Amino acid sequence: MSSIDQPTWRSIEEKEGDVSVQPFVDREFQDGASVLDEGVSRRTFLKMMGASLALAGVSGCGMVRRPKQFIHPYAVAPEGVVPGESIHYATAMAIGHHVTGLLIESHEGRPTKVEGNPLHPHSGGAAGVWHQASVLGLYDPDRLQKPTFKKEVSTQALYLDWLSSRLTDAAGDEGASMLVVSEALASPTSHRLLAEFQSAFPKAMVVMADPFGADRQVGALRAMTGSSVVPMPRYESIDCLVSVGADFLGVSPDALRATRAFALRRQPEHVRGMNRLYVLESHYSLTGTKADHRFRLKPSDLERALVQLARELLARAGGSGLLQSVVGSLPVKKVLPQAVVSAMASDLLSPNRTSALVAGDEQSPFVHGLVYAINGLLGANGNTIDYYRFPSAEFATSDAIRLGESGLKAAVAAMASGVIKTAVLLGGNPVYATPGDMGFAQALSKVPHTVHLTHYHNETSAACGWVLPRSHYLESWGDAKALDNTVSIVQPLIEPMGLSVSDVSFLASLLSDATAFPSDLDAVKATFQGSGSAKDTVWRQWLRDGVVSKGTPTDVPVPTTFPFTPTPVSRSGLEVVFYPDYKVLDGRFSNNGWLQELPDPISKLTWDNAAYISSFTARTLGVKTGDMMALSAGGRHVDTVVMVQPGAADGCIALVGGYGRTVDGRVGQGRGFNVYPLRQTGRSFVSGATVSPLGRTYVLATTQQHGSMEERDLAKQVTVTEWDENPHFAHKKHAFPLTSSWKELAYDEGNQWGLAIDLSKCTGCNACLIACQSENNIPIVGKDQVANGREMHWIRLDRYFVGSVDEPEVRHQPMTCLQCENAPCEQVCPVSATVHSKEGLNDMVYNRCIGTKYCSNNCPVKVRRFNFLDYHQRNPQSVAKRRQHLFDYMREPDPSVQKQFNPEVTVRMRGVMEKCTYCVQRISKGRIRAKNESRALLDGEIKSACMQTCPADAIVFGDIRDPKSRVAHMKSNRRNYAILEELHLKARTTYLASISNPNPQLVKES
Amino acid sequence: MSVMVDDPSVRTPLVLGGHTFASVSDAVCAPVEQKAPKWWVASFAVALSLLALLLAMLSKLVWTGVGVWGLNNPVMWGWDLVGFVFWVGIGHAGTLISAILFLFRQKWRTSINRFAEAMTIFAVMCAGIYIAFHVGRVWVAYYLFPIPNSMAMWVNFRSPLMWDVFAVSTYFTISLLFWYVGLIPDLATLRDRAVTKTRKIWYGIFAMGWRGANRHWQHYERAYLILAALSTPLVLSVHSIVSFDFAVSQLPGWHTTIFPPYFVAGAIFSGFAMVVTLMIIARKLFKLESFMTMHHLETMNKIILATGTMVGYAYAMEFFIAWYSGNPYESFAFVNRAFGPYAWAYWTMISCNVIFPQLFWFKKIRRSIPAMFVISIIVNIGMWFERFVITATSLHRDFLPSSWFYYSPTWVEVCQFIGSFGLFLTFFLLFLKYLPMIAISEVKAIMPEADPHHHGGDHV
Repeated sequence: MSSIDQPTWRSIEEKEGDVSVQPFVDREFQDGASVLDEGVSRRTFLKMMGASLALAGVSGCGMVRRPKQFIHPYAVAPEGVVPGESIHYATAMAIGHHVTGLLIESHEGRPTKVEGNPLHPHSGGAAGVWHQASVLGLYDPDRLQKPTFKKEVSTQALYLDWLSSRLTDAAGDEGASMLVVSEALASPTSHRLLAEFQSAFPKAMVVMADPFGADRQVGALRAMTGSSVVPMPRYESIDCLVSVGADFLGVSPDALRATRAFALRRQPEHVRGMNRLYVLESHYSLTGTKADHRFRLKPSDLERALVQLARELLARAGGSGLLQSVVGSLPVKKVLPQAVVSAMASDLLSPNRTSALVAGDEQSPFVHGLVYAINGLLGANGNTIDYYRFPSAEFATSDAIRLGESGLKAAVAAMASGVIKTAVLLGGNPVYATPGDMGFAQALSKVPHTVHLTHYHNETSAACGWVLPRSHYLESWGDAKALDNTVSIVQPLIEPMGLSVSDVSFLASLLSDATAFPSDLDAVKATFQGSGSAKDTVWRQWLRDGVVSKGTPTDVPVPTTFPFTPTPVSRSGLEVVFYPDYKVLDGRFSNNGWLQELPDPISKLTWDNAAYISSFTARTLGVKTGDMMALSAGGRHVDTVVMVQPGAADGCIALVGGYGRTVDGRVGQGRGFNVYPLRQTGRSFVSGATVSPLGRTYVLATTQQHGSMEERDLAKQVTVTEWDENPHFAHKKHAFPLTSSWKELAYDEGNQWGLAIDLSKCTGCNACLIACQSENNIPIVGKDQVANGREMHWIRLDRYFVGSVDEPEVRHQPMTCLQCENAPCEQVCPVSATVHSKEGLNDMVYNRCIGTKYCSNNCPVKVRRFNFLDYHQRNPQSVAKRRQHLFDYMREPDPSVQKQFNPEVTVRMRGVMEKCTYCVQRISKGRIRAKNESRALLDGEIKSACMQTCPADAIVFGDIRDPKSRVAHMKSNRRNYAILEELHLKARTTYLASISNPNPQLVKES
Repeated sequence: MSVMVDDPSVRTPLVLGGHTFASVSDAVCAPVEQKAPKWWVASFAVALSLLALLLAMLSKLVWTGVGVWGLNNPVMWGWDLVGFVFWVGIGHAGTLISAILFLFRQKWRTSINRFAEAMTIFAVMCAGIYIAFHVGRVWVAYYLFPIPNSMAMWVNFRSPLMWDVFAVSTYFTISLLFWYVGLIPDLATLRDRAVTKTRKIWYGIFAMGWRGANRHWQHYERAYLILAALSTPLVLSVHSIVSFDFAVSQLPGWHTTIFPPYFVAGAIFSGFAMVVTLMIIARKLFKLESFMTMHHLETMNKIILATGTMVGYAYAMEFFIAWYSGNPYESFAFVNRAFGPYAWAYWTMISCNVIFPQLFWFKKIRRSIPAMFVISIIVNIGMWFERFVITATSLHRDFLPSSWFYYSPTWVEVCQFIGSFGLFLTFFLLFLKYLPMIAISEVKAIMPEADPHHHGGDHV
């Protein structure tokens, strides 16, 4: 058909009927268009599909792709929760009898950080090392998860059946065959339940004891006065204080309250001048480091020195009858020079000055009694020392309820005699932590039916039939009454992590015959029924504040008798004193990695304990630091390692409890040496000990090897007189002007952050270190790595000895990144991984750091920490990754521990450098909050973790451009100085030199 | 036919044994063309196993982390930086012989320059390995290079480590080019003499079509001169920059202006010692004593003596200034070096570097092969210890005594160092076997026969 007749045409040629275009017209697809060829053969098709599937499998095996992770929003959002925002809840932590109110920061239902509760008198906003580290203990994967019976997993229902039959048996003889041994509890509800148990089973024995605690003091005062009271010195009001072996600033769980109050009175700028502290002690404690005068005395000499002082005071002031009769009958042995004793006595008796003595918990009843009497003479009792009813005594109304070591002794006697058929153990670790001569383990083995409520599998639970997991305080309902009778409710932050039971539920189950554990919340509410808790608003207010009621002091009890004598000692041999550890206390925290790696504040020892000996005694014994020795007394011996401690008392060995665990979690097992076997019942110290070297050495991992300042002016301290004569002693005159060759940045806009640390207030307690570790996801590295100087703490406490080896002074200096405006580290990083922000912070950029470590070499204060290895993966509690990811290795922290990580801070991998950031995440948070609320930042609104937790309020952070800020005020203080100022670092962190207040009469002596 | 030169108007003959052009080619190409001798095979096996050791140590390092070394806080640089500076320093001898002596028209350089330059290249490779792998995250070591990246970041040009990146890579590149350009006529010789097809092809490729034409020689001479001129400043600058790694920091014991000349002198010192050590072995085993003569060795020993004395002067000056300055940190750093925990290293360094080389004042010792062999090894040991003393003693005790700590290496660091010798030796042995270790054309150029006015010589 001719194309002319077609209605459409594509070209003129077609229209005109040009034949040459016909092929183009006819064909639908022109040359060059792709043509479907034969098609794929079946074989080829199968080959291709098979290969594709195989390749798909390769990519799907997960080796190369990043693992898939999901973000789940709330289906039903809890009220008031904004994901990403943290919420603080108030609760309280009890360590033995000592209670501290806390605010816990919670992220999406997980408690991640502990802070102090400013409303609680035992906190005032501060938290100590144990409180800060407790959050790690909550997530400890080594905690018991399920009830076990005879080492096999069982159920709560079966336990309650068992309990029911035991209680039925016990009912038959009014409970004579039943024994309850509890660790010291501060909970009024627990006390009430124990009292109810006692009345239900009048012949049952109830014992409450801790290896170290207030029991000895309370017992001594009760023996003297008939009342169970505990003294609470008001350190903020005491002008002249003598500590008789009292480490009130250090290892005592009461240290938070004491440090805050003491620091207030210690201020060199105080209107009444500085206070004065005398310390008499047997080994170097933190309190000793703040002493104006320190006397090192072995324990028997400590008692004699106290008698000397009492005599002198009586001679000058005239006697109270009791004291006169006591002291007059005692033999005189001068252990302190007369000049010292008279200077102390006249100081104590100065008119218009308040003075007091404080006795350490571990001192003998004789010391406690004498101190009480002297305080009466000085007029301190009821004045600067308040006395409160001892909370545990409230329920111990009958003789059957026993407290302290004597209670344990009675319990052991009962068990050994075969009378006890059922032993209920609540917490504690009496098989491990009781004195060696008590024989608790043998006695317990005679009891056929036993149950232990415990956090961890330990030596005691290994000897018991039923072992029940115990709830952590962060996952229990409860209450707590502090020694000053402040009452708080303990509220949980999270559901129990395993099948654990809280103390209150456990005790309640002893009274009821239920098939399930009674609710602890109900029990607590029942305790407060009378006090208006029926009203919901009141209850909520208590929970919100963290304080139910404050305590009031009781009347000062009158001493009626003095039934004590100086502790008898053997003529030869050494004396041995026992102290709770600054880190693991009596052993209850031994599975906490943060605490194990925390350097002991004086010896800087980690992961172990050592026997502290003075250098003179060490030379006499022929041992030196690192030598192993066997220490024997009373027919028993312990092996331990020697550490020479400058300032320890001669003729005396100081042992630290809580180590040498044989049954513990992965972190705590096998660290250090168990010293409890050497302890003797009823004695505060042991005498007549002998030493035999074992001929081998032991590696001690310390974080600081060198104790001397080498005449470098680093931690400055002068006496008050020197300060008066030379007010500007802290400012160094430089040989050359500190200027730069180039124009320096002015930093005169916006917020400029700075930090000031008052060395006069700092006691070296290390709370800041654990707070920083908790806030910034800092890993622990283990003993071997610490021994090679690789600990990762961003803040460290440098501890310098000044003076002679035998009688040194100690200076503490917290050291973090100084955030230098002229930072040496920033100049030398080749990849600009460390840069300076507009607000004056030295920023560390982890993802840019390749790890040349030049910045650390150039840092004059060596505060940078390098991740030499993947420490989170090497943690003893790490687990294999569920999904392996190439190049990201095979292990990760335990998923439970990961819940503790602060989500606002990166977790660093190996090969990168890290350091203090002034808690930049908190600065950002504060800035964002202020911006959202369209206002300026307030001074004190942003607190770095170290500042927030410091009990002495020694660390102050803020905006140095704001002349009204606290930090600017501190920096304008005459005592303010910058460390290594001649290097022109222009550091944002400066120090306030510490001032000491020695007795002018004694200055010539010492 | 070695002649004691008392009359300076008569120059010591540089090529002994009555060689002609033909016999020179034969003698130098002989090791390349003959079958590998048994001792070469045995040494190569040892070198390969040490190289394997190095690779194993590097794998362990990258897999586990820098923690396998003994580094700690405060000593964050130890055997790694010491190894780096050690190897980079050794390289400087080659460049000095090749470039500076060329510009000074020192004819005696011709029989040792190829050998020394090869040593330089392989030493810089070892140094490169050290500097690349000492970082904590090797897989992002490319951040060191100023290449466009997703972080929109330049590198920090103020950092001496960044200068190192440029200096060492420049040094390696230029040395390689210089060495290669000089090799071209000799590769052509080998190509022309080659018997097997493989050799013809490979030598042919690398000879780049050299025909010995006039224009070729012109291009060659010019290129050689330019590269020599480029390399000359590198001799002084590269090790000065390496010294800035230390000098630019403010650590007492590091922060001193004497470091650049002190390090350069030390580098030349250790480099020449290494050349002497290797040369004594190679000339004997390959029977090339007529080219690498006693005169060459003696001259090199004189340079070792001169630079050793400079290094000794620098030690004394450092000590003096540390005292004179009145800076307590600086004085302490030096007193600590001599009498502190690392005194053993310090006195090793002093005896090896200051005392032993002074023996070269005596002609008898200068010309005694066993003596110079021993002394050259002692010098290298001493120079390793010098870098170690500088790095470790300054770091381990600096401003704050609370940070003072001791550093000792782990077996991984020690094995890595031994293994780096494996890397060096592997390549060096391959060089000895497959390339002419003496610059044939250059040696010919300084023989009497090369002079057109030489009696009895060919002249074209």
